[in-house]
Amino acid sequence: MAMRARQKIRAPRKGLASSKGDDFEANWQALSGSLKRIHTKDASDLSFEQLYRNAYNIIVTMRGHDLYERVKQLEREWLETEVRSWVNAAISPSLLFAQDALDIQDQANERRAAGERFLTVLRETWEDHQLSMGMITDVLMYMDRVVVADHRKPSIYVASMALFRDIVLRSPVRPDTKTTVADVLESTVLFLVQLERSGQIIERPLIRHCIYMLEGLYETITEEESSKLYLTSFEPAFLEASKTFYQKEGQRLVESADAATFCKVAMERITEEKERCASTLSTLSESKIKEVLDNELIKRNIAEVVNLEGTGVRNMLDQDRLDILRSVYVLSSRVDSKKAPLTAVVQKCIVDMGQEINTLATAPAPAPEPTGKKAVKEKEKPMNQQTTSAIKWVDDILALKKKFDAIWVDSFMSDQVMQSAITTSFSDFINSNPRSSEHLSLFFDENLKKGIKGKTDSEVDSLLDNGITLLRYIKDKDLFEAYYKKHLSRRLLMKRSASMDAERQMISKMKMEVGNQFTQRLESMFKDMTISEDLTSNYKDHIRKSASQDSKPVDLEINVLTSTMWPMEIMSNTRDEVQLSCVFPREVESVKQSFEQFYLSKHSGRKLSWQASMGTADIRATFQRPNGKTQRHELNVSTYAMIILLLFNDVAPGESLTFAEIQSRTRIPDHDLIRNLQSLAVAPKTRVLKKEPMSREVKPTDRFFFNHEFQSQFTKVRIGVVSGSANKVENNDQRKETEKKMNEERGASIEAAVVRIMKQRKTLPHSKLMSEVLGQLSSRFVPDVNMIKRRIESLIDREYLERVGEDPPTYGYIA
Amino acid sequence: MPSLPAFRLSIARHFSSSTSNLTSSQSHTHGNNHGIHPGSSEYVTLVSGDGFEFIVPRSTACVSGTIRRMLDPSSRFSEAVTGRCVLENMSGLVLEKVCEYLCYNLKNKNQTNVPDMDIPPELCLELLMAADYLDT
Amino acid sequence: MDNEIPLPPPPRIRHRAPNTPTVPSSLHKTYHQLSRFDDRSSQPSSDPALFSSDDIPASGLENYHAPAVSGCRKRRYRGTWWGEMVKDTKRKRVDFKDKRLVDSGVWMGSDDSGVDSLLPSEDASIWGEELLHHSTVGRVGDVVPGEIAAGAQQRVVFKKVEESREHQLARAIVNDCLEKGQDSVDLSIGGLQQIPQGLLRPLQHLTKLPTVKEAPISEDVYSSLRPFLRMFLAGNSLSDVPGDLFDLDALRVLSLRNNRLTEIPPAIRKLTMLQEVNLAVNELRFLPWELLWLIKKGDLKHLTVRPNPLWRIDEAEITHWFSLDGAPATSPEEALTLHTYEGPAPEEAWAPIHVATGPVRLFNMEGVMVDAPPTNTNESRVPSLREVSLLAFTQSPFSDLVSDTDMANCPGLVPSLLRQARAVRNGGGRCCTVCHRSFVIARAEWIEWWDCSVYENGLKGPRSSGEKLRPLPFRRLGCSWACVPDASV
Repeated sequence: MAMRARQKIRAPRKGLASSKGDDFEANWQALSGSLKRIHTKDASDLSFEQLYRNAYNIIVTMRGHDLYERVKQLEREWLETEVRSWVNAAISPSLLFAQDALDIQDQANERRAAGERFLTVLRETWEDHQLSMGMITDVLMYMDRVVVADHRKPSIYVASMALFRDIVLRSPVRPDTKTTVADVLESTVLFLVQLERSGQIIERPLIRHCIYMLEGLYETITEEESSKLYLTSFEPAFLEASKTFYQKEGQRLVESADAATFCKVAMERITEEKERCASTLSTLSESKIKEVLDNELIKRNIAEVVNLEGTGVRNMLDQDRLDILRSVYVLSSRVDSKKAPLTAVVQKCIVDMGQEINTLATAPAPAPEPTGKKAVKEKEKPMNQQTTSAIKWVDDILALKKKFDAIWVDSFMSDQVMQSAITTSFSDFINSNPRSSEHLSLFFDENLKKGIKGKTDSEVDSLLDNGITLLRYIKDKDLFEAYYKKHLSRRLLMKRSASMDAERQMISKMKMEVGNQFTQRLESMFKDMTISEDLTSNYKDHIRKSASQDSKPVDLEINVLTSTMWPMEIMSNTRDEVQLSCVFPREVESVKQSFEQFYLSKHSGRKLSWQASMGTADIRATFQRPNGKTQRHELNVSTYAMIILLLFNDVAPGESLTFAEIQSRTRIPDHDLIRNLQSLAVAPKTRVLKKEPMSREVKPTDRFFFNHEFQSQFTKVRIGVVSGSANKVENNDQRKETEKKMNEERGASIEAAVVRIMKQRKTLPHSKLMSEVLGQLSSRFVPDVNMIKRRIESLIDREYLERVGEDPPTYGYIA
Repeated sequence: MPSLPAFRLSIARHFSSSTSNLTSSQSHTHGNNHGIHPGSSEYVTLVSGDGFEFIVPRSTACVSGTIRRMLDPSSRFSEAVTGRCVLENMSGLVLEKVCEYLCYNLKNKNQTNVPDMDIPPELCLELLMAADYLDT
Repeated sequence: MDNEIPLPPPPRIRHRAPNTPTVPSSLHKTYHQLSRFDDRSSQPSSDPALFSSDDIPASGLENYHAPAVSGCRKRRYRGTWWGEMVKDTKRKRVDFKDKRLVDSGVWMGSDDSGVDSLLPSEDASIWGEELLHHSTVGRVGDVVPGEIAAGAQQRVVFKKVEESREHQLARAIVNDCLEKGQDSVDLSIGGLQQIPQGLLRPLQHLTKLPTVKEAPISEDVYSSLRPFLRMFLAGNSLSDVPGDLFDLDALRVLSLRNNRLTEIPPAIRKLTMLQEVNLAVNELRFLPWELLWLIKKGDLKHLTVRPNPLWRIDEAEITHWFSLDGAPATSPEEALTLHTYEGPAPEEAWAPIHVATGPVRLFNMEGVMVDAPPTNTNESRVPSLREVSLLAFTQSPFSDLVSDTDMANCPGLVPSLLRQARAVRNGGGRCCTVCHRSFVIARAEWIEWWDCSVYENGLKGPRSSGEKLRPLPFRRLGCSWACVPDASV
């Protein structure tokens, strides 16, 4: 290092340039000859180094710009004299003059052949030019470095490409015309594309290469992406031509074909155009041609296609043509995120089908109110039919729902917009049936009583889920709750439930679906049942301990029900004003008192009121046959029936009791008494009593005898009470009753909501109060605006609220 | 300068012929190399203006932008065909240093800690010009 | 620090008008024009040393024996010495003037010997003139045109015989310092347009004179002979910093305030002893990254850079924002705000904070910017052969012997490369900020934004909690395309 450091820097010998560096012309001569040989593909014995050195020598003698201009000039001459004439020679007259010759087959074929010939020549020319310019650029790279470093001139490659653009592509084909090579190229390619669209096979790679050329040439020397010739000249023409084509095609299809064909063709065109961009033209156009397709072919026609008579979406839905529906969906979603025409038809269709189901369910119009004068038999039948049709109603809806779920998944690709449209329609037609809540509750009742027997857990689960889905659609959830409560109470008290597990499952499902508040009361019904079980067993223990001096203990099973949680009104039928409690037989009365004592000792301050109408009793009856034999049967009867039968213990054989006598001795309400007597004396299989005269109707003067000839093949006989114990569709009176009840309850809910809101807000304008009330209650029911108004008035009367302003009307809360 | 011996070792094999050339001054061995190193082979020959030959791996030679284009097989220039580049305006002395640099560059391509390359100060201008010429 | 009593704000213009009547008016103008960049206008950008205790003859010695402490002490005195100092410097200047008038011939003679004989045939200043001369022909592009017009013609004729008065004066001051062992070299307001080559080199060997008779004899007296070198070049018209300056490795205080500098050479990194730097009132758009290095790794404690037409972060292009822990920041606001803290200031309230990084610009082997580098380039760290050669050229002691004519005769693009190399050499050389390799042609360049407000304060106190950061632009250079942000070595 030390040695070296002493050495001076060797002054370079006049650069690396050779001594005859000034000889520009000589160097250029050598260079230009070689460049021409490169163009004529005769370069294999040229030395790169020599050419490079020639250029280098010229440049280091400060003649770089001269060299640049000379090279440009050389390229210009080459393109003008040689290349242009080749290309022009390849253009046959048929390419120049033929326009839209698609229809005449011969001309089309001729034009096509000429076109392909022309494209081949153009492609070769271009590729040669590219290759030789690549080589020349390499050789002249030193020049490019100097020139580009100046930032004044484009590289020689770019410059020569611009020359190619101007001299070859943009010069007139013939001296006497304005048509340029680029024009011919454009019309030829468009013509071939047209051929392909009409189903012929064309030479794609050839076109692709010519497109490469347009992609490789730019309008400006700075070569911005957006100034590609492809984008500035060819693509607009292509898109315009496509637009016209698809406008025509769309029109033709709509006029002549059915919806299915339209969809099929459209789908095919979409793939076809995409593929064309990838393999024939440029991927740059993919999104734009897609837009043309969407606008011209689909958007213009989709509404018409969807609504096509006989083949449109309605038809597809009816025929379950899921694949075509999917096409329709795909096409619609391309042009419209709301898919308006499609959703409209689907919604219409659902509502129509739903109305059909509704009509079917209500078709056997409810028989005119029997008013207790017609025969019991006649009355029973239509009621059963109605129950069945209610359940059928639910099943039908579920089937419809299932169908549309499948369509939604398969054809509508689980689209959110479609889902909400379908949901709305279902909800619309379901709520248009005033009995929907009752029907649905009956459906649950039926299934929980019988339907789920012998089913696996998962089946039960899906069954309940289906029902819950319908519940989702129902707007007046409070009405449903009322019916469900009623039906549930019967199931629980009469022990008609098939599975308590299923009941609980149902409650938890409803809780998830509708909310805690909704199921609160239902749950407390279950709680009462459990507590009562404990209570019963505790009571039994109590009786056993307190020395059984009673020789005939009555087995008591008791349900203590919280009155606010249970639908008392349906149990006690308290339509009449004052209801004196019925007179229990001595044995029963003592048990009753003993229980009351027991219960009140535990829970002082409570009041027990006995609901005889909901109870049952097992009694053992002995029948003295005329032949002296005695026959014993165990009868399972309602509590009232038990009371009636026990009366006959004190009646001598052969004696009878009149209706009036029975009534006065038991104080059973007329209505229940009649029904119980009917089931004991009229129902054919359970005639424990004989009636005189033997008729269906029960009159106050009718006499009743104990029937010793009672026959039954079973030891245990269950005697149901005629109508009322089973859950059935309500008759009109009952419905009115329920509605009235409902409205009262709703009124209370509304008042509660109003007070709640006003307590918080102190003052609020009317419209705001309305909207808040509606918001709070919408999960349970859709309140009637007039009802709210009335309730507000009533609250003002009762001095909960006051008017504090008139414009806008405003209320204030009175604390 | 620990880098220098390492460099010598790594290309000793390829330099075997050229070092003898260096000692025996000028010799012309055009014929020999054609047979051994055809155009597309792994090795190429760089020849100085005064006749020294350096046989280096193709990848090494292609560190230089100029030589890379020279040898580009798609262009079909004679250098690409024969694998032999005559650098008319470069002396053997300079070209040797250039070859050393090409090897140095390739060897350290992926290093994070690149050692310095030692250049005799008296040659620095000539090398600068060679670098300019060879675009490296 | 109880002495740090608040003071009335010092006047913006130093009261030295009598000496250089032309400067204040122009300075005044510039200052106000630039003051929008100076958001701490209450702080003087002027050189504190002029007001420090150092110039009081009686306290001179005690202040030097412990350099680290002395830095603190000086600041302590800064304000209070204000009024007296003006008078003091004035007196000194009069002294030199007298000397020059009497002994100018003598100083001229020592001048030559001081230039060092590395350039036997050529006077350094003449080389400079030649460079200027070329520039008029259009070779050198980076000389301020105004300077050529004003000075060149006159001096070309005149200078070969005798140096300009400014240079003579400067030499006189330097020599005076050398002779007296005076380690505070005040060349401020000298009207210098450039520093003659070789002027500063002798200061490398400046030794303080022991002042035995004055001080009470104690051990400290002997250790204090190491110079606490300070260099004041404020108020000149320098357009570039001489490379010589960066060889004064004992330099502790450097003021280049109020000049025409557009760039501070990265070679400032060599001044590892620097404690205080004043670059205010120049034409700087950015700072060299090496200044930040001196803060982080060196001894630099007080950096005065405002006002200058520095790039502003809200107008600059930013590619990455950083939060305090170096992770990407979610928003500029996050990056530009110090987090809130309670209690004693955490470490990061003191340290420089990296706020953002600008886009990386890449250059090819010839130093020409490339817009979009080819994607498949292997980002190798190997220097190009051109770079290797140029580096050898700059490091050779003989490189100055290559005449401009020889350089110009080199082919093609070589002359411009050589000119760049020479400029780099004259600026004191460059070092890659990523891999620390010496280099000539930068291949990558980017701006890093760092908040150094604590150091701009002279370490007076930490940033306050939740403070808004005011980052400075530091330019980083990389020697290869692999030496870019996030490249670890």
